[in-house]
Amino acid sequence: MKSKTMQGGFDFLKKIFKVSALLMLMVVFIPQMLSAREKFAQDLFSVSFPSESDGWACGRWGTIVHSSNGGESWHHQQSGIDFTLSSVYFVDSQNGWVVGDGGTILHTTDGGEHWEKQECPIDYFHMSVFFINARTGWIVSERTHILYTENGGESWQIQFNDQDFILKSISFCDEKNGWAVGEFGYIYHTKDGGKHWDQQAGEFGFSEETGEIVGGTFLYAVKAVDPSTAWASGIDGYISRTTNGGDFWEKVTGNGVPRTHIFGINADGFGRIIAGGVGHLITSTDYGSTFNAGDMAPSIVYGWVYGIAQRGPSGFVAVGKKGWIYLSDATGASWKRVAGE
Amino acid sequence: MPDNQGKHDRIVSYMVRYRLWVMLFVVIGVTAFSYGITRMQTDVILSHMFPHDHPYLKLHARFAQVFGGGGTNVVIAINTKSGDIFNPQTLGKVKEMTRKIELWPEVYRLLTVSMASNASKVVKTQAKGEIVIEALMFPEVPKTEEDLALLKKHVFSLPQYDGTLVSEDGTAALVLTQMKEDISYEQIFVKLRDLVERYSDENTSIHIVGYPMLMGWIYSYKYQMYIVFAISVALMMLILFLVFRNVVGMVAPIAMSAICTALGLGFIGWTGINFSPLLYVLAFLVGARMLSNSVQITHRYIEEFRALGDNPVAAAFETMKAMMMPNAAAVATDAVGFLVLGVAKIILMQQLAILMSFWMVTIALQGVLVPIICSYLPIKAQTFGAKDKLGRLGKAIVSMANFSMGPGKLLVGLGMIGIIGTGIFQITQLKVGDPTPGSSILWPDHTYNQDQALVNEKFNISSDNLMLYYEGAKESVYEPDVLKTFELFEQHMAEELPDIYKSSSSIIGMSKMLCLTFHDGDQMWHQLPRDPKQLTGILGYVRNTAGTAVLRRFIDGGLERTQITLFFADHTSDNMLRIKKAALDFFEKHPMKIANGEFKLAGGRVGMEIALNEEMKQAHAFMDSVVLLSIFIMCSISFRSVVAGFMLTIPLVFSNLIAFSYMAWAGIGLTTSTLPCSAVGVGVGVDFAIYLYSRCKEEALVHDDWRTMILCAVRTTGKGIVFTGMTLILPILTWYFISALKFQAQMGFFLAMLLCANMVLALTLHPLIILLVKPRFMKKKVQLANQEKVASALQIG
Repeated sequence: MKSKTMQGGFDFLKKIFKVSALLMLMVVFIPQMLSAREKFAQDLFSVSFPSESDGWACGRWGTIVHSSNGGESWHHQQSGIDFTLSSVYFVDSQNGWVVGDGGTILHTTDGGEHWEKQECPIDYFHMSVFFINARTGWIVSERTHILYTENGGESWQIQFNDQDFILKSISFCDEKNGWAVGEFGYIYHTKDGGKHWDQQAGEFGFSEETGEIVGGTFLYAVKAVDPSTAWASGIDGYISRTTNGGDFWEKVTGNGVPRTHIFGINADGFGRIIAGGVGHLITSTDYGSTFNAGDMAPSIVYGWVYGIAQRGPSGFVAVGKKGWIYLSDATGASWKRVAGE
Repeated sequence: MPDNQGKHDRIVSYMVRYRLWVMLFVVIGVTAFSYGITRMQTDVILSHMFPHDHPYLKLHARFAQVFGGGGTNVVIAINTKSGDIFNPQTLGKVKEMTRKIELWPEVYRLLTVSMASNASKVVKTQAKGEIVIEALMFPEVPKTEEDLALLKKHVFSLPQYDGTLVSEDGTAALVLTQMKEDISYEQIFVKLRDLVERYSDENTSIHIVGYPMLMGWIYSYKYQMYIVFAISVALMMLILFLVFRNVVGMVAPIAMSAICTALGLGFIGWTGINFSPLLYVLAFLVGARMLSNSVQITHRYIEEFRALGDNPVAAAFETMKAMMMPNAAAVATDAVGFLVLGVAKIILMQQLAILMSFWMVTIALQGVLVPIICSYLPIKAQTFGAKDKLGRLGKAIVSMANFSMGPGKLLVGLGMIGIIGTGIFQITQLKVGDPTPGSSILWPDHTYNQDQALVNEKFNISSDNLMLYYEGAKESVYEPDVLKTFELFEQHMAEELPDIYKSSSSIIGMSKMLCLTFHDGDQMWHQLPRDPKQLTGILGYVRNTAGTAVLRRFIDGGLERTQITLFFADHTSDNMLRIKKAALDFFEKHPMKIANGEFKLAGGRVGMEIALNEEMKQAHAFMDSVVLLSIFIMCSISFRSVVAGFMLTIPLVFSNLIAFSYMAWAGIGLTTSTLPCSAVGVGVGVDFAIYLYSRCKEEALVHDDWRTMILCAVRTTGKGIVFTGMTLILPILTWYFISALKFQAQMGFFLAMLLCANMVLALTLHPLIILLVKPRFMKKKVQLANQEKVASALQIG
């Protein structure tokens, strides 16, 4: 009887010990788990939403972030490099590419769980990537290089190169028709999937009288809407559009466009245009006849947004300074920040 | 042994006989020392507060001559309550303040930066594609809407200004400066406060943080500290009056404390050693110890006076005979406690060790002087205060001791186990360094801490900076490897410490700004080019166009040394460890040495704090061990018994566990301000037990039974212990309630808690230990007396 009581007491002590040990572990580890922090917020330059729910953004120091709930929350993916990643493009929720500094081209086939480096014939700073399907894609880079793949990036080839300028952005509306834009207002256009690239705009030279550089406006972004229609944006509130396949690029001025660097532009086929840059994000619902300042919460007046993408019919998403990610409502008029400092 | 006893008695007898001469000698000595008080220096000297031998400090000192130090940064925020700073009025204030501060002799002009200084540059493109580096807002403030908009554009497109010199929301601007090392913080505080008053208005508030400002605030409480001292002393006198209710009881302790104070302060003055206001609380601790000892001795004198029938000379003789040695032993333990502070390689501590141990030694005079002073004071034997009340107190004390030795034995044992368990856990939580983001010296709602919170919230810059240095061959600072490593280091720290990393400042900022401008303001290019040729080209451009004065913040004249400064949100001890670990981790993966030079960690305020915390951590464990060991040795010698040493030292461990648990629980870290208190505190209160043990030895002559002997000793000494304890605890506790300096309040509470713990242990645990151990040293007198009896009986026989 006595030994039973002692055994009971011993068991009780053992239980107490176990509970205490568990509590100790909780005391030690739970605060550490709770304090498992988000990474330092880096500048983001590009965003891609192949579906309404799945989105990726990329930026400085090899940053890739992913959302699977329409952009409401984001988490980091391992790119494995620390170069600046300038552009991301996903054709579906599994297959995507990011490009960046040092000739970086990364590819994923599992929604970004694993990123693999693809061989690149040049080690320039790639500025933009665009894929029309899982096999066919283009990259624009420094020294007016356009790279092309037709096997999902297993091999990339130089499709076009020209003068020593930087091409900043490329966009296709189908397998044949696309535009690439860059420094000094250069716009190149193809109607045959890149077999031929024609210069539609841009100039660079020196004034014989003053010796000053004479050149077109630096263009940051282009968005091809259909074979006839495309939008481009650049320095000092420069927004231009073509409605005839690039035969004529018309500057959109004085209707609510602020004089600021406009790094990103996006448009759908229903007259909605979103453009954003230093301190401003503007929207239009009438094919660019008028622009209104987006209702940003919080304001971006002391910062900038860079990449802008559509996320299905739900609206748009814009990314920028220090990890900022803004989501718009369906109209694109009202925006809220969901990430960044 | 009897010979020794005889010699001791003869000395005592001699002193009492010539007590007038003794007093005269003391008066002359006190007068001479008092003059030294006028020579006292009470400055806060920064270099005295850090471990001068630590490699980080040596490195910091060497590079501080080139780039300035990180220890004396001042951050001044000009905050607008509505709207932003981009209006001529607010910008005018930024400009005026910058110009004013630049001309102060206390600051390094080159290291004074704001958006209105010439050193703040912007890269602009001009005609013919030419790129120039111009001042952001110098010499004039923009007036037109267009110019203001341009300034705003420049600021917010350049990360080195956005969030650093101007807050990210545009509502506040900064003026950063660095003070010289040998300035008067009292004077600079007046100037800084004047800025606050002059430039604050209905829409503008000024917030200043940084070490000089903090020291200034502490100085500003100097007079309040004096008031707290005065209140504490008044309270002590009140308690003395309530306890003794006679002239002797009040005058003797106060007079004796005044003598010791004069000797101690005079010594400080004569030696020319600086006495930092941060350590005034220690002076009070010494003062309290003076009072406690003199109260014990006075109490004994009154007892003897009563027992010997109104004979002051006989009472003085008996008191001196009984108290001189225990008093000296108690004082010696505390003096060693102070002396051991000198092991820390921090000048402040070493100076403190000399000053305070001398001051403590003066208390040894009390064993002689208190009985002599008492003998000159009038006393009425029947007026020893409220006897009934004291009687009740005495009964309560005896009951407590009796309970502890009887039915309460288990309770005392369990209490000790509880104390050990809780104490050991809490001590592991004890932080070395400052555990609070602002200043732990001041209360959280203090203006300084509020200002710190505002600066932290609005800016990516702070006064807590880490500097990574590079030193190499001539002109090697422009090698791409150097700046690449800086950039990678900055990135690594930002990634590893995203919650505390704020921003960085180096030549990289200007290089990135150039790269951005070369690419027409494209934010994607705000980075160092990967291509070494491009990078070399940009660095060459910086070198040729930025101007020497601007570059001197980052690069030395010989192009051999450069630095990157990283700003962090705070200097809490945990974060210091994290910063150090992250920095060392980086150099595990990257070489410290490159082709033409070497990277060196760690300078700046963070480097200094890390060095200090490391020294503190080492010194703390060592000091506490040495204090305990010295107490053990002193007690062993005093009672001529190793057992006595153990019996008196072990309970001290318990009381210290309680006190350190409080420190950990209250979030008090071990700093240069708190370490001396905690080290000295180890021995505070051991005298309660020493007096009890001495009394036990005397009672052993009368009582054979251990229990009776202990209870008799408690009955006679217990009241003395409680009176002394209360005389110390209550005045020290007033600090907790009225001091504007948080750390002093907390230290007051810490010391009060230690004293209280030791007082209670002397009346509970010690009687129990004596009863259980039944130490032979307590019965030595009995044995000797018996031997003498036997010997005399044999002689008679």
